[in-house]
Amino acid sequence: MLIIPAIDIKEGRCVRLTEGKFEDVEIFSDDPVAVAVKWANKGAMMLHVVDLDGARYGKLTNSSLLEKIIKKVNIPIQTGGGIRKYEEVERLINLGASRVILGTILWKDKSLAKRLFKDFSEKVIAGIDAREGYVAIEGWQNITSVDALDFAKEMERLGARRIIYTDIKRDGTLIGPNMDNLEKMLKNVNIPLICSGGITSLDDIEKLKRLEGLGLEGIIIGKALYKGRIILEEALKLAQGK
Amino acid sequence: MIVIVDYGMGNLKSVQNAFAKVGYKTLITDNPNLIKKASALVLPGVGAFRDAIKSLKDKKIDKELIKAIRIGKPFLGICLGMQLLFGFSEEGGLFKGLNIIPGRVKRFSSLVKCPHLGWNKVKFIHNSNRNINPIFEGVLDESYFYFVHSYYCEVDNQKIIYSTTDYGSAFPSSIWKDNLFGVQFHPEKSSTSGLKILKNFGELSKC
Repeated sequence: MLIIPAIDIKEGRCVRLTEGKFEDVEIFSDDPVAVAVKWANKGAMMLHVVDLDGARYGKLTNSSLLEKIIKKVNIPIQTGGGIRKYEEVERLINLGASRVILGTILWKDKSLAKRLFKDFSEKVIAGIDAREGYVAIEGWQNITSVDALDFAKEMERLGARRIIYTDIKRDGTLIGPNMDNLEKMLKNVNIPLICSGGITSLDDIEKLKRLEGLGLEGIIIGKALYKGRIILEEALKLAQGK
Repeated sequence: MIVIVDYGMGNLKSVQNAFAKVGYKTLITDNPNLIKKASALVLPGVGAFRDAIKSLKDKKIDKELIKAIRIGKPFLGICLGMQLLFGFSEEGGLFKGLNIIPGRVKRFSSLVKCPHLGWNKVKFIHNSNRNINPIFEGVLDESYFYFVHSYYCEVDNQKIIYSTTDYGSAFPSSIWKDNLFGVQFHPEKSSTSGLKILKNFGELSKC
């Protein structure tokens, strides 16, 4: 099981939001590159870097920072936020991003989604962010009437190789993941899934580890790491079963 | 000086930074004269086989690389950089490689997803007659490394395969013959185990 520290970038800083609300922001560092290096040095095997400004305004905003992170750390980076065009996916991959996370673009243009899954296969991930079971888009500011589970199945049909499933109501709340929803999702799709939202303790990781057999491939952890509720080294040990 | 061979593609900085992290200064260059003077060479892996081999030839680097390997300089091929050492590749047609190692580069079977992307186990081939590959010194058997590739090397001389990795079936994830080292994974993206390999390789450059 992969433990993936999250680095959310807003206006050049490393921040955490609560339930994705832009007004509910906590700054953890002015230097996201140093944060990335710190997690990598502690043994993380992958990082999750999100351009929050990008997600909100639909335009890549912090890509020079992303580039610095990619060059500085010696682990793969998955990244997303504000990617709305084919060329942008291509650009991020050429920049050295290992995987690009697609969100709004998948909802808006199904034929483009299909093309992206076909052309970039394992290098793109369908990011499905759900609020009370419905797909949220545009930096989580708009909630659609599309059921997250149906959307996940549709993405799989369109050729997605991997899903990141985020439970918005849990994100940044430190109250634990929504196990029921996650299990339901895992049972309904046949591609690997990475979960995020609410993971707060080693107990949570232990619980999530039991879902590995259902296809849960990784866990994204944000606030809990920054608040010291989870120590990365301990999480890694637990996840790798050592 | 360790030289990272620049054949005009991709992101060589991450290889350079990883070496810097373990205390080795490297030079990224496509200048055949500087390549000639290198104490050790790294051929990184990015892009398509055809473009890479064309670029090596256009820049007249190919002959220098072959020479360096022949005279015993430590040489590390990473991912495509390892594949380029073989006779030919089936990537995008049929293209001749540097032909230093007998064998060919083939696409994974259609039964597995391509590219093979992610962390996977590197299993050493156990053979009591065999020495430890110096660049794997201190790396545990079945350690995880990071892979990104759709093609793999089919090696004629089984004896030079140092490790295999399972993806559909087992493929060679590293090769070793004297001063020549090849890894299919990306040590520069493989956290501490990867850094260990670069550090070990760096030490060879001092000999």
